[in-house]
Parts: sequence; C-alpha cells; structure tokens
Amino acid sequence: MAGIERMGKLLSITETVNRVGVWVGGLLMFFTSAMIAVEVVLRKVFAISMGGADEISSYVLAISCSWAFGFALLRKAHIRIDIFYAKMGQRLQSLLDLLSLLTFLVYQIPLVYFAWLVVKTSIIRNSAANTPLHTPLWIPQGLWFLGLVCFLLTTVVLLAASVVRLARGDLEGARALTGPNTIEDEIKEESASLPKAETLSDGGVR
Amino acid sequence: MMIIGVVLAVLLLLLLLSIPVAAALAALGLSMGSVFSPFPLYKALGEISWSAGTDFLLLAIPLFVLLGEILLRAGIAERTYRALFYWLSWLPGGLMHANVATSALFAATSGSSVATAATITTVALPQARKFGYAESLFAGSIAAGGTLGILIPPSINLIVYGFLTNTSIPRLFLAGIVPGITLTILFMIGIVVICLINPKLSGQKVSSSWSQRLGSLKDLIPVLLIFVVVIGSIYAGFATPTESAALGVLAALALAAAHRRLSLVMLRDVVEGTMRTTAMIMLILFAAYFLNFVLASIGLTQMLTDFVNNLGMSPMATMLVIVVLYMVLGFFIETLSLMVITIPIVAPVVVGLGFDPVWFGVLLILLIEMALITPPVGLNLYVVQGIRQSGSISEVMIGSIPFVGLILLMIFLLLLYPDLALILARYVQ
Repeated sequence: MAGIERMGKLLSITETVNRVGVWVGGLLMFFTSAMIAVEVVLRKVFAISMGGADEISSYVLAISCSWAFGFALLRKAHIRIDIFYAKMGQRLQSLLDLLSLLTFLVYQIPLVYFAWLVVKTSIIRNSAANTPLHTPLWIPQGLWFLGLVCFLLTTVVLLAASVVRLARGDLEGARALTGPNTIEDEIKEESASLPKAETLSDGGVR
Repeated sequence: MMIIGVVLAVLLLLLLLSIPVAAALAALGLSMGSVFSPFPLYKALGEISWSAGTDFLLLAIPLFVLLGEILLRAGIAERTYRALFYWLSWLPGGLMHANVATSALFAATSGSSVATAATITTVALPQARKFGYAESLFAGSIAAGGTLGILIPPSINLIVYGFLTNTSIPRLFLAGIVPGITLTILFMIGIVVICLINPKLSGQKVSSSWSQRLGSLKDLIPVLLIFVVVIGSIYAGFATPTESAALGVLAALALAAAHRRLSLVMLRDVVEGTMRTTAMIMLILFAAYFLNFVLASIGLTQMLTDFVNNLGMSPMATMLVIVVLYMVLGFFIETLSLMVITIPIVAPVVVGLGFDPVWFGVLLILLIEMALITPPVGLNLYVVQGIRQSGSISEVMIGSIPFVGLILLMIFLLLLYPDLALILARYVQ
C-alpha cells in the first residue's frame, strides 16, 4: 500500500510542477504581448526601435511551449484518433494507452538527448545570438531543454502510475490517467468556467 | 513509390491504433530517417526543434488562442449573440442567423472551435426550446457556423498552412476574407430558403425594437473593433500577424476589464486553457515539421510530385482527385492532424501543377470545414450534441446536411472562380 501512496504523491507533484510551469509560461505570454505592442507603437508612431522584442518573444514561445507539453499530456489534450479505439475491449484499450505513452518516449528520449546537445554546444562555444542583444544562447535553450525534460518525466510518471493501477486490475483508474479525451471531457474542460448564459429578453412575441 | 506506400501504411496503422498524432509523426520521422537515408537525419532533431520552436511567426498561434480565450471567458460571446439576435431575428429562421453570425465573428478570434461551438450552444439552445425551433436544423446551424472561424481571418489553421508551405500569412488571411463572408451569406440564404419552404423548422417570430438594436451596439462595436485592430493592422502594413495578435490580446484584456470580468480565477483558466490548446497544436506542428524535413531529405516529396506530373492528368482533373481524397479522409481523420499530415505531401504537388499556393490554402480550409461537420468524426457535431444532452446525434448530423451541401457549393465556386480568394490577396506582396 505504501507504494500506491507514494505513486499518488508523485502524481500530485507532477501535476503541481506542470501547472506552475504553465502559469509561468502564460504570464510570459501576457508579458510578451505587452512588450510587442509597445514595440509596434514606438516603431510606427514615434519611429523609435527598441529592438529585441521579437527575439525575446521567440525564446518565450519555445520555453512556454516546452513547459506546456507535459501539462497537455496530463489534461489528455494531445490528439488521438479514437475511431477504432472506441470499439475495442477494455483490455486492448489499456494496452493501446500504454503503447501511446511508449511512442511518446520514442519521440522524447531522442528529443531530450539532441536538445541537450544543442545546449551543450552553446555552452562550450559560448554562443551568443547574432542580434543586438547578444543573448547567451544557453540561457533560453537551457530553459527550453528543462521543459522538455519535464515533459519526458511526466510521461514516465504517468506510465509508471498507469502500470501500477493496471497491475492492481484497476482498468478504470489507469484509463482516467492515460485514456484518450472523450468529447464530454473536452467540453467540460472548455466550458467549466464559462459564464452562465443570460436569457434573452423576448422583445415581444408576435 | 514503394517507400511512399510503406510510409502511408505505417502512419495510418499508428493513427488507427489511437497513438497520439504528434508521437506517431515524430516516431515515423525518426525511423524513416534512419532507414531510408545514408545520413543520420535524427541528429537534426534538436536543432530543428529549437529553430521551429523559436519561429516568431508561430508565436501568432498562442497569442490568437489567448485572445479567443479571453473573449470567451469574459462572456463577450454571450453579449455578441444577444446583440446579433436583436439585429437578425426578423429573418425567416430568426435565431439561426444569430448562431451563424456570432460564430463567424467569434470563431474568427478563437483558437478553439470546440470552445466557440460549446459557448454558442450553451447560450442559444435554451432560446431554441423557448421559441419552438426544430432542434435538428438549429443544432446544424451551430455546428456549421462553428466552422466559419477557421476560414475568416485571423485563422490558426491558415497560419499552420502558411508555416508548413512557406506561404505569406498576410496574403492567406486576405484570401480567406471573401470566401469566408460568401460562405457566411450562403449559410444565411440557405436558412432563409429552408425556412420559407418548411416554416415549421423555424420558431416563433420575435420582433426586436430599434431601441434594443441600437442599445446592443455597445456590445457589438467593441468586438468589431478588436477584429479591425487585428486584421487592419496587418493590412495597413502596420504589424506582422504576430504583432497584430499581441495588439489583439491587449485590446481583449481591456474589453474584459471594461466588463469587470477580470479576476485571478478567470486569468488562471485563460492561461491553462491557452497553454493546453497551444501545446497540443505546437507539438503536432513540430513533429510534422520534422517529418516534413525527413521526407524532403530522402527525396520523397520530389518523387511524389514527379509521379503525379507523369500521370498525364490535366491539372484540374488532379485537383478534383485531391478534393475527393480530402473529403474521404475528412470523414475519418481529425482535422488538424489531417492538415499537418497531408500538407507537406500535397502542397508541393499542387504548386507543381501550377496552382497558386494561397488559393489552395483557402480551398483546403473549406475542405477541412466540411470535415468538421461530416460524420463519423465531425468534431463540431459531437460538441453540439454533448451540450444538448437530449435527442440523438443523428438529428445534429441531419441538420448539418444542408450546410455540407453549401460548403460543397462554395468549393465549386472557388474551383471555377479562383479570384474569389485571390482578388484581395493581390494587394499584398
């Protein structure tokens, strides 16, 4: 039982880390929008160029995306085509869920490895961006790389937790972690916090 | 040609096994690269992911998603719907015109057709029941209306197309305007005609007073202003698509603040929703981009283009084959996946035949729109049904049929008159 408890704790840590990653990424998006808007207005209205806004925004894009991949995985947002899946037996479905995570690993492990080589090269060569900012590239690349590592670890945790649940015969529980998104999940996700509909005034029925 | 067959077969198998599309594309790219190429193409994975990940152009995608999320969660869609209801309720088919028009205005700024269709269904359906509309056609009009947003700029799907084919996004956005508006009008004419033939499908007529209409302008004008800021700034040469998206985000924030809808909880939901959708789109895009690189490196893209050219079919006949192919694939494959899988292969063929890539982008989006409302995997149908929670999905499907027909009509119009797309695009080089 201790193992299951530890697994639950690991899952909740994974959830927290990914959420914080996404919040920071989202804040950076707002910050980026403001920075770009200021840059556009200064450039067009006052003919002043601050420069660098697009460069920093590009880093923000890469970093916030890499930190959001794991979150999207936890929310089952990565698209799976479930036209045949839906018609299969539950055991086969569990198998496909595991296979899905394993295929993610096939992508992630080389991705993380070669992303590390990109960072390492920048550190060794002390590369700086070929721009007025001369950004030392290892900083944005390092943050981007860490996001990818987080994505990889999230997949590993999900895989482990799912295997633990399957081993206990808890097919439903495993599916709740790694099954595909049903349309109901998706609608709930999208409309959970939408404001309540107000009724239209009749205006008078003829 | 053997290789092409193998690639397609493996990809199809992985997708049908419900392997996540992004993972399937990347895994395929990695294995193709090591099997069919003398060079270790997989070594480029890091560099390619970094350079695609830092593409300033792609920043437009999360920013447009963010813009849409802010507007939706600030309740702007509801206000727009009510305003358009006052303006359009006198037409035969009354409320259904509000469905189509709100979707057209709204999905235009929102990255998620699910969110848009869900919101409109939530607001509109109680009214449909109150005024006694036939739910089938009513639901169909929401599902179909929800597809308009990916054609009317700013459209994330057009950005995806532009990124994968290296086509100018401003030109694509311009090219989407006339067909987008034409299709919206076709939808509305279709509703009027159907309701004139069978008045039972429409609900009670509701009259709105001019004071209601004028009063509703305060809800309509800000949304139109955001649209003008975003699209106008691109065409005036004032801003790139990414910069215009940033301006749009600030404008949307200001509008949400004016309606006192900004709160920490709201912003948290906006951020989580935005990053979730963004991560989903971007991972598929990066994976497809890498696969694209591998396919081009092993010469497969060129091979296919040559093959089609040597078939000796006329360009128009080939185009018709492509259109039919997309219609069939659209029945089964989710739309974003369909786009990223096929564009790298099909676009070079089409351009090789002498078609304008901007024009083809618009045609492709129309085909994708159709896929969104054709069973068995028409996403919008299920969204509307999911919120409806009564009756059967087949009612929504039947109600969507007229709109599928109208999209088909629009596709033929575009094949006959390419200028529908190109006339505005000529103004930007």
